[in-house]
Amino acid sequence: MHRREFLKSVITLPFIPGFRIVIPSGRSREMVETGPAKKYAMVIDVDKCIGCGKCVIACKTENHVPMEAPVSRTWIEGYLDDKKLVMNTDENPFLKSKASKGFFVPKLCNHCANAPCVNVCPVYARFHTKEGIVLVDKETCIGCKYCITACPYGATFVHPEEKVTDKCTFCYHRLRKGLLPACVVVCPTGARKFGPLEEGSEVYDLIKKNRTTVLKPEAGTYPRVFYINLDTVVEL
Amino acid sequence: MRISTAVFSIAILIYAAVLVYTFIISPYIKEESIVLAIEEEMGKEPVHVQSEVCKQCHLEVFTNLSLGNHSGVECAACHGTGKEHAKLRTAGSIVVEDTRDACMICHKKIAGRNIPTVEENHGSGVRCSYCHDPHSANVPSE
Repeated sequence: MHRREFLKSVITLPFIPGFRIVIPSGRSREMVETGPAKKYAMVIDVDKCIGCGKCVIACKTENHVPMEAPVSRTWIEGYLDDKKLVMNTDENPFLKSKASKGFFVPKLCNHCANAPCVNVCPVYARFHTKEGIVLVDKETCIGCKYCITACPYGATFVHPEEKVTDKCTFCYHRLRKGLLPACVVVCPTGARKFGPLEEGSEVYDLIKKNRTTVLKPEAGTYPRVFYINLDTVVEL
Repeated sequence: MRISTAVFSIAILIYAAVLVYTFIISPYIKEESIVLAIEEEMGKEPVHVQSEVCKQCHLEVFTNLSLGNHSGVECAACHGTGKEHAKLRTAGSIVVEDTRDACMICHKKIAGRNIPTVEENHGSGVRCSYCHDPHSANVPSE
């Protein structure tokens, strides 16, 4: 082969689609830490939620998301009469409402078993842990926001200070120390329940004995956040 | 001509270095980045204290609380994070809000609340704790 031709081919080689597949990388989008582990889930009873917003404030304090920024790892949607109000800062918009009918839906990352954000991430910054929790590797994240577009629940946002994407981690740092997530701890009515999805656990019993639903089942994401007594209109 | 060859070889060297970093020694390819991310996530300090910790000092208050209507409510719901207070153990390091607004966060009458709620004019001008003790939350007799 001619020298120039050889150099040309060496330089263009990495840009040929499929070249990366040849490189022996064991990296996958699935679990990194293998082995049997409990899968965790959250069950939210919509009837019990009173829209006090303590979970939003606790989540922001626990996970260092700026309080005044209108983004949050968990937020409450209040459907009051025909209006939809959202609480994602420490200001509670529901208290001023004069509505006659209403209910509140706490929302957070659904930790989908088939997570669109994990599937679309171009730099493999999102992954499942062995507990089935979707985490963001903030060192690798380049902030391209593909995951924000891909998430059907709007649970991902750009952190105002770190400038990379951020989302609920089910308080992974607390979970590994045997504590409950901050939003579950502060919920005064016990609307949020959290635990392992195994026989005999509280969460397992709740799902077994109640009519539960997930948000947007048609998206095929297999969420791990279940709702009890949810009005189907909310799923929009 | 000679200069351009030198520039070209330097470019090749830089290119090779980038290639070697990207595909051989970067944490991405060695699958270290995920392990590091999990370690970083686990290294964070929890700030919200659960009531198991609180009752080690405040057992009397905790017993009162668990007998009343607020039995299911964790201390952190009203008193905030509590990590500082567990370290310092001073009165100023914990949130104690004895105001009407603090109670009204949960007990104001708005649509969709199926817990005991009150209208805006209920006991107007009086602190809630004048009649109700939040730590043994039963409705007081007249």
